Amino acid sequence: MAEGRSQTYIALVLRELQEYRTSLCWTPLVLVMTLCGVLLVAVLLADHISAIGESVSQVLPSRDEAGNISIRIENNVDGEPALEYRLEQTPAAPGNLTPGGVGEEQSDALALAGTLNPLLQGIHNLFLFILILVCANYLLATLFNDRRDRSILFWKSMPVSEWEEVLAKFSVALLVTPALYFIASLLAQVMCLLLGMLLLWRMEMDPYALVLARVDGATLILGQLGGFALMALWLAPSYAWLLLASAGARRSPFMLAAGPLLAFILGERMFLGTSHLATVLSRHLPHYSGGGYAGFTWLGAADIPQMILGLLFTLAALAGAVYLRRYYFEL
Amino acid sequence: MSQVIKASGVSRSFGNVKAVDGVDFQVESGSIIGLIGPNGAGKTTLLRALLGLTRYRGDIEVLGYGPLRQRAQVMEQVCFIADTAVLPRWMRVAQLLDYVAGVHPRFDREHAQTLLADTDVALTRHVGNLSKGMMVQLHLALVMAIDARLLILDEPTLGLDILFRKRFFEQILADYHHSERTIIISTHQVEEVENILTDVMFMDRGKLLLQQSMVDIAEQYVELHALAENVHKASGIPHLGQRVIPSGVAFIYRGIQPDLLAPLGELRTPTVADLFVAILTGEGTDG
Repeated sequence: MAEGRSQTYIALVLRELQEYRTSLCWTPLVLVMTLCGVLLVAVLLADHISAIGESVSQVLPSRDEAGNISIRIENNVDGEPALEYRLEQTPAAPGNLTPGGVGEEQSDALALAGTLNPLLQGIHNLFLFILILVCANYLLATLFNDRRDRSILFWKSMPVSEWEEVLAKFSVALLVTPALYFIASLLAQVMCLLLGMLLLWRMEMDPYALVLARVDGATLILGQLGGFALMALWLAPSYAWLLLASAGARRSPFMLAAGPLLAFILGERMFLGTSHLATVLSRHLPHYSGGGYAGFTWLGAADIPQMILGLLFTLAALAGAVYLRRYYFEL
Repeated sequence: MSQVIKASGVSRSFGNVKAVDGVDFQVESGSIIGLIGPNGAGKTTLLRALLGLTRYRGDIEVLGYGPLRQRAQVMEQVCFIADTAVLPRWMRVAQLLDYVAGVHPRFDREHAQTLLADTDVALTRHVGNLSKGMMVQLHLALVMAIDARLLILDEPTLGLDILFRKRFFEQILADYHHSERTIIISTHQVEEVENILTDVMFMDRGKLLLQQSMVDIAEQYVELHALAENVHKASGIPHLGQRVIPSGVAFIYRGIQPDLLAPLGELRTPTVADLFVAILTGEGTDG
């Protein structure tokens, strides 16, 4: 029985990935290839600059001082240098793997570890941004399109309940697609690192010291995975709302999703002079919060009641989508 | 024979229009039922109520399940082909087979492929690129590869040419139907399915006008082809309906001994279409 249910779930998810293959599967791959292509061009054509997404990493070797290397990583958002490091290469002592003594090497390594993480996080944020756009578009379309082309009658001729169908679609947006984008983002980050190392190697510099030693992979991956979990928890109500709009729309799911919210926000502001709904909504929409995790930060216990309320709203919205799917599916 | 469907007091309204109006009926397993009615009679709404695709008042039990609340369980044993092409057009045929194999425990993928091998429907083709006839063939292959107990066909051959229509029903009768399988067919082309039906149900304006087996119809109804000199006598006998035929009039009677009518002309069993028209128009003199 359980095997049958999981087989059904897999079939439902595969169907979604096939129907929306361009946005869910091809887009992250194309993004990876584009980023790699840009870097490859940089490797082949430029010796100095590698530009990726919002962050620019400039590798500025001092040609007159062969032993000195200056690396500056700038964040384009505020335009201020976020990190600046100056390294001095000294001839390696016999028996030492890296310049300097063992103690010095350890403290250098500690100081440098993770300095390239913001650059990689920038690449990851680009994937997150596109992921959220893609998922929003998917959720608005997924319960509406098959009603419009009447293929819903075929789906409903199969032994699949509305709950199974709606939950499968919801999980595609909340879990499956983020997992695909996470893998793609990881691939892009690894490829960028490798190409960056290749670039430095071509410039006769030490790729390990300048790239690998400056990446704190464990922190980065754990942070990004945690960011996905946080994002799923905070975005769940918004995603469920979009799914509800997709299930109920007769013409435009977007208008049904955005219209009532805008009307309530404006009404509240005009008649009550407050903006509680806008405040609540802003917590469940991606926004800039100074963090790297799609705009969501964990503020601790203060967040828990609102998160629970959000998850309860998610359940209610999903139940609404199931109800509409069951009884009011015809356009 | 066990009962496959039990329906009592089934009603469905859209605004002020009563699409289905207090319908009661039962369906025995193994029967092939023709659901006959003009456009807007409520056939599609009734079939959708049986499938849990529309809300209704009253009680319906399909294979022991309530279709509205237990649609997934019902659809494990019920197959359905709708009146329009409803297969997802973006899918490839092979993907469609994979999907059905994934969600339907009674689907035999190999059997479906065997059935499709006799058609022009290639596994690599997009459903959207298939002709209407090929889409119906594909849908039929999917349905026939499911070991279901009830098959509901709502105008399945609408828009197909006569060769396709003939082959469609022949295939269902030869390769699909057996004593444990029940088929309900809603169609306007009554004459094409008449020879395979075991029962008929007539509907008009949401009401069930008649539910009877073909055997009972043959026993209870008789059609008299009265020639010119006997038309007057025949019309004096209470009848359900009449229509003009070459050099005379055809009358349809209910419950009249054939011996009484034999001297007035040729007797035969009325066709389902003629009986339906006679009952529907109510132009006769039989109460």
